[in-house]
Amino acid sequence: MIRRIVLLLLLLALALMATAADAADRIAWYSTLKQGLAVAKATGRPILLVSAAPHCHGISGIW
Amino acid sequence: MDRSYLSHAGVIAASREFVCIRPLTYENAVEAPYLESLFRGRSGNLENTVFAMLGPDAKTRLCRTGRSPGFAFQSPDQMAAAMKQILKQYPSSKPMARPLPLLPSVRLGLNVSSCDNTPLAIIYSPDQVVRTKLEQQLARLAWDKNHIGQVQFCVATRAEELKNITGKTEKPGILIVQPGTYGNNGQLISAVDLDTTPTELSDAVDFALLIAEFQQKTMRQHIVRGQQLGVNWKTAIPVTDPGGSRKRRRGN
Repeated sequence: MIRRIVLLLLLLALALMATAADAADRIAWYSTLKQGLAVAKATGRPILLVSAAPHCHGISGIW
Repeated sequence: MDRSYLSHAGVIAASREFVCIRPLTYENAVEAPYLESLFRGRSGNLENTVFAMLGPDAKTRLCRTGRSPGFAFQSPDQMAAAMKQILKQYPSSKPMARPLPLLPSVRLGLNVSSCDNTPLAIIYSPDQVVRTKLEQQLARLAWDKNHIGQVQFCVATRAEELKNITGKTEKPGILIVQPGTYGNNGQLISAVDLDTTPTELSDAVDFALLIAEFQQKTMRQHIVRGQQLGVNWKTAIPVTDPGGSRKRRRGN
């Protein structure tokens, strides 16, 4: 029983570590032109723009 | 779109010095003409995706625009190298003032967070002053190195906007939500009060991130199951991508 609890805690710790390790793995997007272009203008930074539809063949929840 | 470009470590690293914008195609009639001006497909219409790298004026094109990064670059490595070169033209002279990146509505927030497989943080209050305070608090978390790009954000001013979220609270604060598989509903994971500490907020978000880790989707299975369930996402403007609509795909 104790062994199972330890194993569970270990898995939880590994999952938390994985979450922390993945933290830098994604691009941070502005979702509207209005907000994004305003930030670009104010900061003088170049723009990476990728528009995408949040559905596929009418099915939401997937790009 | 070949997502390998946008998940490439070099591209992500360079993106931190860009302003990255991902408009939602067919969800904003005002944005559509601008996207069309950047790229039209063979049909002459706006397609599902548009890719561009632009100067801060949003007019100067810094690479070939197209449907995806593959139109401009042969590989993710080449794209990362190009981004580094571009950054030399725009040396960073001042720290970027970065507001909280907000999705336009709870409805789109749920869908996009489901697409990205991330938690959704909803700022909920009828009071503008409270919302501004919460936005500032979340902005610090949104851009810290442990959470950048990991969470979606939106605002709700009325309880009706939360109708598709189970376990919701009527109390103003930050609602951390796990989106449903199809992004048409969500489950409240935690409700963070107005007087919460940054550590408590971070812990609540980290717990939701842990839950999101266990959610996986396969495109084909997701679409087939969604069709069986009668899922039918309504866009704000008509879909003009030749391969993008269910009607056309079925050849009706």
